[in-house]
Amino acid sequence: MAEDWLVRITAELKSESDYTERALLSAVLCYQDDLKQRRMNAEGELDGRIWNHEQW
Amino acid sequence: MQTLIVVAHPNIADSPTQQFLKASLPDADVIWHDLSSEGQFDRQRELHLLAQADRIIFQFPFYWYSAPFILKKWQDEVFGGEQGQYQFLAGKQLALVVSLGQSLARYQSGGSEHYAMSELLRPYQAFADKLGWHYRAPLLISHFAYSTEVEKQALLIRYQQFLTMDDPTNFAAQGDWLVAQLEKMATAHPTQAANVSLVSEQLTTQLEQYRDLIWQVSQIKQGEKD
Repeated sequence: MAEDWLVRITAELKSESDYTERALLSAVLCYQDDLKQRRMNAEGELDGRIWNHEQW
Repeated sequence: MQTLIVVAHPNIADSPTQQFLKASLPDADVIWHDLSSEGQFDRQRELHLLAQADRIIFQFPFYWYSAPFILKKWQDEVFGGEQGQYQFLAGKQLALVVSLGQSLARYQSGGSEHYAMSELLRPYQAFADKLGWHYRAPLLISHFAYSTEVEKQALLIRYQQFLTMDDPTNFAAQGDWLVAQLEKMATAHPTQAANVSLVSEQLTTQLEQYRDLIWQVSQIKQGEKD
């Protein structure tokens, strides 16, 4: 999930936005969640490859 | 990038899907070209429209495994005669936006429709190949009528990205696109600019970190033995 402050700010912005802008803000929140997951995956992969003794 | 959307629908005014897509058009260089409003096509005018565009979209509902007849009529009337005369249009991109009344899951081997959409849409790929156009993966919209509000909003963004991005499937580029839209929003609404910029900066920072991680992983992979 996106961070609380980000969810709060986007909710505030949505209340003053038109339909397209609300769609954009929702997309940003979804994207942030995907990005967070991908970063975790990449960090895990990086860690695994760095400590792969078979490659030392 | 200039995008020409060739819309083939027998009654756009009564189509919730087409009306939604029309209302979702981005501010960028996009031309909505409704074929149903034309009785007889002015071939030179159509070719001029095509020549101005970098990306051409055929947008239609899927009727009997094809587009409504007006798209075929347009193809036949605009692209008659020797194919060599259309060399000046080579290099364009062609992409399809297709709406389906059924679930996409039906369109696959073993599904109730038996064939995948890639197979059923092959004539458009062949059309693009013959003209020297680059055929792009389509945007398939199924069951629009049953979409939730969240799904409709997601479709709006996917559609705008599909029309305007070089590669709408590139994850990092999608992030860049979102940042660009947030910056436009901040400019359009000075009273909200501070909060929009906070969201934008957060996204930009995380994107940079993600790209850096991906780069580091790729560097390590290059140095690894088989």
